[in-house]
This record gives sequence, C-alpha cells and structure tokens, in this order.
Amino acid sequence: MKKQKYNIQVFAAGVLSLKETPGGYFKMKLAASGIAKAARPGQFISLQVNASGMPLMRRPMGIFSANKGAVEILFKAAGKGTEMLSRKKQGESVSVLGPLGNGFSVREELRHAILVAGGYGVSPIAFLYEELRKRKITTTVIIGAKNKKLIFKEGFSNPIITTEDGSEGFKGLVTERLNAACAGFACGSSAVFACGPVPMLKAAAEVSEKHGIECQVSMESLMACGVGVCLSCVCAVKEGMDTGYKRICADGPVFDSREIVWRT
Amino acid sequence: MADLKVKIAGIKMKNPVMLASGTCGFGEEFSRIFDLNLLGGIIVKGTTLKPRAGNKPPRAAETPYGMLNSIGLQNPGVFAVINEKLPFLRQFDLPVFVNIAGNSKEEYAELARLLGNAKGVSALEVNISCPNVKHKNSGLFCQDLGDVYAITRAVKRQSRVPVFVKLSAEVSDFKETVKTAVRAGADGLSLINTLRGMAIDIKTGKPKLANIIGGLSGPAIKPVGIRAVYEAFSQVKVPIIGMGGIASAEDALEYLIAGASAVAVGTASFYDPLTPISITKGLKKYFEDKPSDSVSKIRGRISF
Repeated sequence: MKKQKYNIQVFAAGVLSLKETPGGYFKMKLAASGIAKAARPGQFISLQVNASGMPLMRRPMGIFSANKGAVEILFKAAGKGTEMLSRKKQGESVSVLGPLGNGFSVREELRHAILVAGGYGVSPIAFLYEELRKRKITTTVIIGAKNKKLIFKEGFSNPIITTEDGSEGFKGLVTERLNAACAGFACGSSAVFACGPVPMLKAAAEVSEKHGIECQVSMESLMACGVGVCLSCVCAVKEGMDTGYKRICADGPVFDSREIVWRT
Repeated sequence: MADLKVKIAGIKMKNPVMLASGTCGFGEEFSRIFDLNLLGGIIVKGTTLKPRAGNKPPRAAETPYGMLNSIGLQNPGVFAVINEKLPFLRQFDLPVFVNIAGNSKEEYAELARLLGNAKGVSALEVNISCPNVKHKNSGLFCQDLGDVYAITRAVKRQSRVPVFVKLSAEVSDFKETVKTAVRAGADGLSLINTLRGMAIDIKTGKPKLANIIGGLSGPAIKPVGIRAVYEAFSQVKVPIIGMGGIASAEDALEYLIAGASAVAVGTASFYDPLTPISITKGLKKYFEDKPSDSVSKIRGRISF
C-alpha cells in the first residue's frame, strides 16, 4: 500500500490574540505550527465558529501571515458567524482545518509582481507580498476600497491607494492604476496577482490580458467542506469549447484568469 | 476491546460507520486528512453513465442546523470512475459502495452491469431519490412505486454485488415504497436522502440556490431519518444503512436502536471531517461499558 500523506490538519487552535485593525477588520492570531510551516500564500484555513451547530458550517479565511508557529487571519464581522468569531477571547480555542487550496504560483522567471487587493482580499495579498520580498521580487501594490475608512494597508511599503469616493489616494477603481502599472513592465517577467470582489477580479483580468501579462485571481465562495468533496463552491471555467466547473476550495482558490468564465 | 464488526448483505465491515454518498467524493480528499482504513465503508459520489457538469452555482446555502444543496450530480462518469477512482480506493481495506443514478431504467441497468461487476466494488447504492436532477414530472423516481420496482429489478438483474436502494422520506406511502424495493430484490436500504427545501435571500428576494430548490441535510433532518428507519424496520428484514444528520456516537446509536444495521455520516464530515473517527471511538466506549450488547443486538431494540 502506498504511504498516505496527511497534509490537511484539523485541530483546536488556541487564540493567541484578536485585535481590531484599521479598515474595520479583525485580526486573529492562532497557534497552528503545522499550518504555519506548510502554508503558502493564497492558501486558506477554515474555522469552526462553535461546536453547537449554529452556525453549522466552517468559515473559510485567507491566510494573512504564517510564521513562528502562528497563523494570522483578517476578517470582517459581516454576518452572524464572523461576528461570533470576532468575540472570541485570547486563550479560547477554535477548530481549524487547513492549510487548504492551491495558493498563488510564483514562476522562477518572475521579476516584478503587481498585487491588486480589494476589501479583505488584502489578507492573502499581504502574505504573498512578504513571500515576494523574501525572494527579492519587486512589487507594485494597489489597494482599492469604497472609502478611506475601509482601507487596510499595514505592512505594505508605499502602496497605491484608490477609493471610489476619492477620500484617500486616487479617486476611482483599481483598474486605471493597474493599467498604468501594467504598461511599465515586460509581460514575460511580470505577473498580476489579484484578490477581492468578483467585479474587481474580472476588471483586473481584462486589463492584464490586454497587456499580455499573466494574471492570477483568487476566487471566493460560500463553502461547505473546504476540501473538495461537497462540490458546492464551484466556479465556471472554460473546458475546450464548453463550460465546466472547478472547485474553488480544492482546484483553487487561485486560478489563471484566462480559465475563468466571468458571470455578468 | 469492544467489537464493532458488522456484516450487512454479506459484506464484512470493521465497524458500522460509513461515509454517505455525495459527501466524500471518491475518498481522495479525506485520505489526506485521516486513514480511510478506519472506516466501516465508503459510499462514493453518485455516478452517471456520462460525465455531468452539475448545476449552476450557487449550489449551497446554510440553514438552521443544516444546509441546502443542489450540486446536480457533478461526476466524471462511469468510465472515469472505473478507470481512475476505483483503483485509488482499492489500496484500502475498505468496502466500497458505488451510488448510481440514471435517467431511465435502462441507464440504471447499464450502470449496474458496468459497476456491479467492476473490481473493487462491494455493493451498489441505487439513487432513486436525488432531488437535484430533473426527470418526468420533475419528481423523484422513488415517488412512483412502478419505477421503484422496475429500476430495482433491472439493477438486481445486472449486478453481481448486493444492491442497496436509497430512498427519500418524501413519498406518500413510505412503508409501501420500502416493501416494493425489497419485493423487487433489494438486498438492503439506504435511508434517507435529503429532503427538498428552499431558502430566499430577503434582501434581494432571490432564491439562495441557482436551482431554486435543493436537498436539506444535516442535524435538522435527523428525526425524519429516525422515523424512516423505524418504519422500514417494522416492514422488512433487509439491512438498513441509516443516514441523515448523524454527527455523534449518540446519533449513530439512535439510528441503530431505530433499526439501522449501519450508519453513514454525511453533512457532518463537511464541518468536522473526523466525525466518523469520533463516532467509532464513541461506539467502542459505549459497547465496552455494556459488554453484553453489540451493534447487531441493539438493532431495532426500542422500548415502548
């Protein structure tokens, strides 16, 4: 029999800290040495809010950072489940499943990366940013939000900020800034990495494709299992002339933008 | 050590805890989390003759103590299952039940011919209760006693391995449905499939599922499953795999007492993939404390 590799863990992780951050987010740090060691940027973990069955499903969260035996996530208390998570106390534990998903892939030839983040999409982008810095790959970071209050830019040096109302940085969407950034780099040695709401990902894909630059998009969806068995969190992809479905949790969450069939 | 061994329709299992179809793929994903050899058995994803892309997303919605799904039997088709999925599962010492779904009696018969004779298949589970695929009158096959009989009979004729028929509790005469399946030759029953439900986003007014209606699963449906197993056990002698909302050893014991010979974990695997392992541990402890009892002895032992 082939030796089985157990590379997804499920265990009760201690909450090391939980803080509110600028942008209206919560940053939770969890003791998870196995995941911290194995995790790659773009991967996620899935948290059980409580064991009472309400809410029943885990909440998937992109990994914000992973080092020294701890994993950090960034989330908004947007619904009942995340609101309950935001009230956890230091020293309590949360059941964690992970690391999950494929993560971003960074080619050997990559010299410059353009990172595009919208909303809590900033979380996996921050992890990728750290990784790219370690690998001495230069970066342009573009962070977009509705307004100044929703901007999270901690850890990034000189990010380009865009707000829809112009309350910080450039007024408008990330697309224009991305267009300008793409124009400055050679397509073979650069790539765009985007995480955020679907309309932003679609726009980032279109701009990148116009410039002939590779674009990796991190998709999100409501998930039931997070490991690829339930087939709930699929997105439409091109399969030859047809449309098929791929699992965001297990085949993604990161996809080559050219593969996605964007829904309008 | 308490012995949890069971034998259902001639199939020997280490323990009565299985994984339910549609909640464990073909075993590959969970093999990255725990040793599949610890399971009593696995009932793999509903398999159709041709590959199926499945329904449009969104395909799932969370509901109180449960979830709705409308996956639409996304699967790679019978030939990929035989050539790619079964060889993987053959590495394990694990009875494999293959769930089959067709659009007609003929398709079920063809699936039974192909899978009921394939290497590494211990039994077939005939899915005539999937709420997410459309056929005549957009109802379920198991809501028509004539279809229950004809499909079960057709599958039995072709299959070399035991045939379990998976039914829904959403039928007008459940006892008659159960008896019909057994009369047609079913070696066992799988009870129950999901119950049709719906959820609406009140902000947008839109159904939460693209398919509008989906199958409800999870702890919310356990009492319906218990009722179905109890009623079936009162009518027929064949083994019953109880499923629907099982998340703990206590839930499993409740199903066994209601009349199940084995149980299958479904939705609970989504939020805790180690559920089958903790259920087996819990059952071991239960029978260690009651050495005169066993899984088969407590079957159907309700005190009225």
